[in-house]
Amino acid sequence: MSSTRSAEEVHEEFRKNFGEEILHSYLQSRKVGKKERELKRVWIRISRAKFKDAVRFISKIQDSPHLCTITGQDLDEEIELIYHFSIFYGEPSKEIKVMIATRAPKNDLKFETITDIIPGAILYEREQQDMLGVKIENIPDSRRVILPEDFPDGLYPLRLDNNGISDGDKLVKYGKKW
Amino acid sequence: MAKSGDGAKSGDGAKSGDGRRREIVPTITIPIGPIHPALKEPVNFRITVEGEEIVDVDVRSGYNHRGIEWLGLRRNWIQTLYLAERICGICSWVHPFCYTQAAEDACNIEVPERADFIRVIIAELERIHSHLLWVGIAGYEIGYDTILHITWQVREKILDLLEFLTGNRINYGMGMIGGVRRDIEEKHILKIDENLKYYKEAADQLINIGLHDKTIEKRMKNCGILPRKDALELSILGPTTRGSGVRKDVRQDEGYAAYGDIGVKAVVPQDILGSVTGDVFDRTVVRLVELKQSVEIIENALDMMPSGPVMYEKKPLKLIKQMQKESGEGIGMHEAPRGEVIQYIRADASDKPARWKIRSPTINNLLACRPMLLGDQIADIPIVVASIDPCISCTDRVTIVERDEKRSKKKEVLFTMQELRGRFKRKVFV
Repeated sequence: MSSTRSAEEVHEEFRKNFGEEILHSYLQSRKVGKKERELKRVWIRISRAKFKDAVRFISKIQDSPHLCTITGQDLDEEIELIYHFSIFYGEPSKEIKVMIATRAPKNDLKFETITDIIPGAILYEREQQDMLGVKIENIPDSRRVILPEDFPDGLYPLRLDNNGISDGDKLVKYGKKW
Repeated sequence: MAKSGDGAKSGDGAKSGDGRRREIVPTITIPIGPIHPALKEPVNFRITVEGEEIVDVDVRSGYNHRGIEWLGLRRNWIQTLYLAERICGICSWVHPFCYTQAAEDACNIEVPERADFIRVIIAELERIHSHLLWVGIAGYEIGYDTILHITWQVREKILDLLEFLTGNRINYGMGMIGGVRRDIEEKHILKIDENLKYYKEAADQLINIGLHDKTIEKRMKNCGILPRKDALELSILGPTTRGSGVRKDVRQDEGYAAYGDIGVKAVVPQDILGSVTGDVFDRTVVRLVELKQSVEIIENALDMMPSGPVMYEKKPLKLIKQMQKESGEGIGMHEAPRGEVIQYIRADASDKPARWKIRSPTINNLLACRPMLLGDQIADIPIVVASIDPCISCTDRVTIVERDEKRSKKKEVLFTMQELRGRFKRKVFV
């Protein structure tokens, strides 16, 4: 077990190691309960090229970091994937959630897989392929997981552009079954 | 069973003639689900077997996609809260709990101290009813229906208590961004105390049955083993990972809401049994002991609960107006009975969330089925799969609506739970 550190230290370590590759980062804190304690989160937005190094870096801070989930979102021009990690779990009130986000433009929606570092990421990566139409490179298994197998191709429910499902849409028009 | 190394006599026998027998026995793929008597949720397991031994497992889901996240982006902050409550019938508090925390993070809303304690109390009451439900199902899956009858009878009381506190047995409608909608008053505390006393005894009895019953031991020990290494690598959650000896419990690790003030310790089998196997038995013991832990948490929460308001803003419209001015992002998490639930919300100065992401625990726990089932036998599939407590989105009872023919054809009569019970008794026993 690696030694625990404060959220500020983790944030600072990331900034020192990745420097200008970090596009944007901040600390979020929030008082809870009887307002004596604070929950702290580290948000880091990093360039796509260095993203996998950041994941490797976090697995150095904590052996087998816990990947909570991957959130994908459509930001008009780009698609952003946010990887939610928890580190320093196992001790009371020591856990820190670290969010590492990376973006790709819509004409080049490719992200690298992290299943070689964290095998548990597989279902979340498959989910992003389903819902946002991103391409996860070198993914060991790229079948659908959230959507049914006969869901029309090229239609991604959470996209906000023409490839998504807009308010008035009925899925009937995309095929007989739907 | 073969993984356990000992006690797998049939496995050893097969291995002595290994090379030859494997060639003779062809591999067969058995589909289990999406509709199957042993699994009451639409998920499909393709299990490859050699004789009785499982050699490969593949999980497929996606049979019942409801598009909740998509819907949430088209409703305002308060409407989405109601939708969050209806994601699951059993975990009907965990999703609004996470949603409100995430929304508060994103929109900078402060929660009154008392509200955080009430949230914890409801969450723990829900854990008791959910774990009791699970123990019943586990008993049923191993053909030990007595357990099912005992636990579900015990569970009735907690549902009644939840109805008394919130007005509903499920879908409590307690959540509100910036607090809770109803306060816990003196009359409620009396009733809670009375129930806690009952549940303490019940939990002790159930733990006694769980630890010493022969049938449970024979069916659950050394089956469905999830090694600690796999649990860590696959990011497994909740009692499933704690059953493998990983001290991971968001209530302890994060101390969100009032959990940090109350102090929670993750329940792991090494503290109770002295050693960890990571089998179905360990996961059962973890859940049974958590029943007792929940009772203690509620007792402490009631003791420590400060007085004061329970809501940040009573008028929903005013709240939405304020949230419209904010932009930011936040996450909310809660240790649901099945594991950690996490939600992400991004607000961009509008009356609805710009992105709402939900991650319920079962999606990742399904990954655990493969290491658990490999090397086990076909007969163990139901209990092993049930041991991750897959979230079956079902409600356990519906209020019967009958048309009152005499008065008016259109008028519908709603029965209360009490009347329904009387009705049921008359019909069956008289």
